[in-house]
Amino acid sequence: MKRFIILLLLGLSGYVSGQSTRLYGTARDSETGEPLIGAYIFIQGTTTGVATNNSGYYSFMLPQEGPQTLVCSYIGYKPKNVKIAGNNSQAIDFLLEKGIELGEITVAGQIPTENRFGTNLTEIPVAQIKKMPALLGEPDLMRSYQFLPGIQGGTEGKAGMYVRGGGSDQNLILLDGSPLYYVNHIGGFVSIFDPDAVKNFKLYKGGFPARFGGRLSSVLDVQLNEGDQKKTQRTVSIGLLSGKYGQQGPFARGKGSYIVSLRRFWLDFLMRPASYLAFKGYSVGYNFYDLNSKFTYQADEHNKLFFSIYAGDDKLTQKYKDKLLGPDNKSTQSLKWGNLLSAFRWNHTWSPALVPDLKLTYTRYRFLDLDKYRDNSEDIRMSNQFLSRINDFGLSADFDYFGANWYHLKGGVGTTFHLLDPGINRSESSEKGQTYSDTSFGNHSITAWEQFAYLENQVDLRRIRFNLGGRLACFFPEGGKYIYAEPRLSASVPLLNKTSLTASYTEMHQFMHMLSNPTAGFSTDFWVPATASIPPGKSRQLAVGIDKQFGMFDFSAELYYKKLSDLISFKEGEVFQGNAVDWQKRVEKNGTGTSKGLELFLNKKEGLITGWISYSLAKSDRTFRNINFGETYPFEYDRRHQFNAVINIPLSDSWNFSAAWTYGSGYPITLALGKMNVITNSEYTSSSNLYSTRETGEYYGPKNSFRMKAYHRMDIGFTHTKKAYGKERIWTIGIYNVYNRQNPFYYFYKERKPWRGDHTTVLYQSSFLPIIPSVSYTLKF
Amino acid sequence: MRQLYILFLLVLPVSCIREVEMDTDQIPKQLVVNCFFTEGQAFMVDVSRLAAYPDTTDRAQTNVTVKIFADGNLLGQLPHTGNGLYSNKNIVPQRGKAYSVEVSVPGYPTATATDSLPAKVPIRGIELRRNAGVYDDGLTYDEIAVAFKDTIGANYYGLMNYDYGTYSQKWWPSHMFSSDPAIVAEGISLSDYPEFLIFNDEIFTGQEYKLRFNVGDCCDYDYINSIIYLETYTYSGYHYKKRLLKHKPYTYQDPFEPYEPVPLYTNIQNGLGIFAGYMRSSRKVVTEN
Repeated sequence: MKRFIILLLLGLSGYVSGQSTRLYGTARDSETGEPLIGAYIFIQGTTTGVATNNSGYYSFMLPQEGPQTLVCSYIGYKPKNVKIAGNNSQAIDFLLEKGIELGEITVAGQIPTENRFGTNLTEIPVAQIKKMPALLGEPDLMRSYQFLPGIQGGTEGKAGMYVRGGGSDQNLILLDGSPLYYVNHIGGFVSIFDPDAVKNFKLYKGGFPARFGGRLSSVLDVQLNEGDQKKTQRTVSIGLLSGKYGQQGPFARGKGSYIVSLRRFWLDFLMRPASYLAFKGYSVGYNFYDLNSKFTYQADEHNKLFFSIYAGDDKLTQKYKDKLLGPDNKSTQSLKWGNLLSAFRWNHTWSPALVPDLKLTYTRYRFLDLDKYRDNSEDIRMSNQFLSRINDFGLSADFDYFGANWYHLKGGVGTTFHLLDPGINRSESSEKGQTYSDTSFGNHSITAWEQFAYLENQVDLRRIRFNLGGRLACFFPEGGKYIYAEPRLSASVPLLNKTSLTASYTEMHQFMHMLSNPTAGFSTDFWVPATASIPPGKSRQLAVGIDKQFGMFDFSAELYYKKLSDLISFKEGEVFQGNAVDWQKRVEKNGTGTSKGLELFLNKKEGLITGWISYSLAKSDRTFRNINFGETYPFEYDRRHQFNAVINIPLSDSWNFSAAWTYGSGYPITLALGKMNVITNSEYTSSSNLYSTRETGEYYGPKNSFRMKAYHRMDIGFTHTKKAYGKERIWTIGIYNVYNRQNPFYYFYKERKPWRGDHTTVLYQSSFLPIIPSVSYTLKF
Repeated sequence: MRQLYILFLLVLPVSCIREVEMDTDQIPKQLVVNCFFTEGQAFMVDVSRLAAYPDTTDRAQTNVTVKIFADGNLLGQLPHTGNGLYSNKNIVPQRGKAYSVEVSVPGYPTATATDSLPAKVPIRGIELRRNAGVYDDGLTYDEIAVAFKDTIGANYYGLMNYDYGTYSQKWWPSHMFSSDPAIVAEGISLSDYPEFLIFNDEIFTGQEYKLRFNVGDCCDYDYINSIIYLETYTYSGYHYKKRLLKHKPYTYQDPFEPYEPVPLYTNIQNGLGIFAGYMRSSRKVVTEN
């Protein structure tokens, strides 16, 4: 079987071109020069066409000789036609003007997104996301995706992403092709992606192409803008939570472009002085920032260079000074965590049909907890520090080979060196120069190599389209070796009337596990690698579905089944931070999980009014030998039913209205069901017995056996855009949870009214986010 | 991270709380048997029942047959002494034997468990450092180092510090925290601030060890009058106390800590609770301020 697959791959990757006239080039925005990803280039009146790739590049063969018309179209832009007279290969670049919608031109056949190969890809244009209602006036890319079928957001208000029953660590999140480990601020309420800096946002839920690997449940591929190639543009934005400044423009006489965007949470400017005044000597401040930047340089016709940097940190600091602690005393507690990512990419057009890409990346994630105390009068110093960090150094080479119009070969190899410090503690104390303790302890540094090679064969025939590929994924931790061949197949069979049947099967392995400290509301995440004794996680997913385009609507229905294995979780009652002994002894391993469901999606992405409705029916669970007595239990974010509706209506040239409604059945939780006597320490008068059995403890039923009440809410938003004197002003007004639904956040027991003699213990539900209006202002100049 | 939530409070209005109905029929019919036993003290077994959360009636079981076995041989029955407690002053545990308990109540499955006594580890020395640091509220705390030698047969430890209350004329367990590697290895954080510490000998097997912990000067005493207890546990006792330390009740009404529940450990077959042996050594600390 393996030999057959290898032969098939090699056979398909041979020379397949029979034609000789090749057209190639890029599609760009005429105003800014930004490449347009996914623009459709086709021969008018035929179904022959291709979509531009992530660089806005296309390449295809003329299917027949003679005069023909080549059309380039893209949603939100005026289509452009070019007459092809001769039979010579030539470069044709398209510069599209913003304007009418795609629906106003005739496209024969389905628009060639990756979905036509059976990939479960969802794409919402960033411009549309920006118009969606936003919590606290902060448009959030990840939160917008929670309105899609098969995606759960986790706890109320958070920008989490749990795809088809997968954990939050099972999402491969790529920024310009480089993986990120932490993608949220304020513990998950805001994601790190600044919508003004992002060009494209693709989410794969299944049918993963072979180019992606390393995570089990989804791929989020985020591309940053390249910047305006024509003129310098600045953006200033102020919202309730943060302020932003962005600048983009050309350099090197238009050969290059850049974009820099800085966002900062600004409430600490108010919090810190306010808390200092209120508590006399105590101040507290929280802030985060994001810096997104990208530099692009077109060295010549064949060579293009890219350099991207993302830096983002969250920081929480508490300071205590003299007035509170006493003269000459000072104490500081700070938490800091975030990513640093840099990527250099060289894109070389070897020939119109062969485009290789070389990439060098560095990613760092770290979490630092530092407590310091100093008494200057007594010369006492104490400090405690906990540090957890990951450094990844990556090198990869990919290529695209555009053969015949029905064949596209993609391949690549790469390696990543992981350097991890899962958790190091350092504790120090001294008095009058004498050191009382100075210890470093914890998990030692770990190194590991990860390597991959892949091939994708995208075959687009009249009766079937498929992407058959494979990925060789290798991981070499200290003392261990894991090598896996991951088959990837997605296919679609076109039926009548723009209808296709789709199917996909993928296998994925995850070499980096995430452990979350079980303080569920605000968990702290730590990444650890697969080791010789902790194997990588594994997933296998099978999906079948149907896609149909009718008029301006796209409809899809999909059934999926996912099997997860070799999952890890903390043993009950264990935590990570501060551990002095091996973390591997604190986890349950070899866990399994299943996830299955049905997803329905009706999307109108063209025309005046746009939006979608979706429904998903899902079930996902987990099983660990020593958790829940080995019995299978529901996954934390197992939601049986979910319905979403999103609508966007332009009210006038300047006003836009949007609304979103979501309904989801309740999440499962573990609830205390009963009470029992426990043994605790007690006060005593003689030393005969220090233990008492009079205290009460709690009895829990099976894990996650209690369902919270259903969740639903509606958000609305208005945007007002006005252009005048070369400036653009945007007001965004929104209301979160319009009808003030009290959604469940957590449950607890309490005596009903003890002050009135009613000591009945009853269960209470606490809600978190009520109706919240918001406003933000953006100026572009 | 909890502070971060508190910060979030400043910018987001916290919403409301409402009563919801719950199904109380999900409680299984089970006995709860609790007994920590040690050398030289008669077995004292507490027998109660598992009750539904809203159930406020007495849980103590007063009509129970409690049998104690040593190495499989019946030593005798424990009579009821009141409030669900069963004890016989003539049945006293000794080291080197495996003790079992069998608890029978009509209408409940018979609950059983077996455990033994671990080795005793004496305290070799105590070091006290006054005013080692300052709490957030400005009060000082002390640091105490307890020296002992890990021995064969002792793998699991616990530590308690009792202060004498002159007004109440009682000894009270004091809250503690520690940055000692053996303590943080258990995942006990500074914010747990428990009345007892537990640890194991993984990082000092067979060696002499000096464990440091901090206790508060919350009442600003003129002098210290306290007793430090070092206990050793069996596997079951250690896991029970470790889970107990992290076991916070649902009634802990903190909107920013909707925690992950930590079920209590049990070694009782067909029931709940704990039947575990322990050994204890102590040292008194009296110092003028």
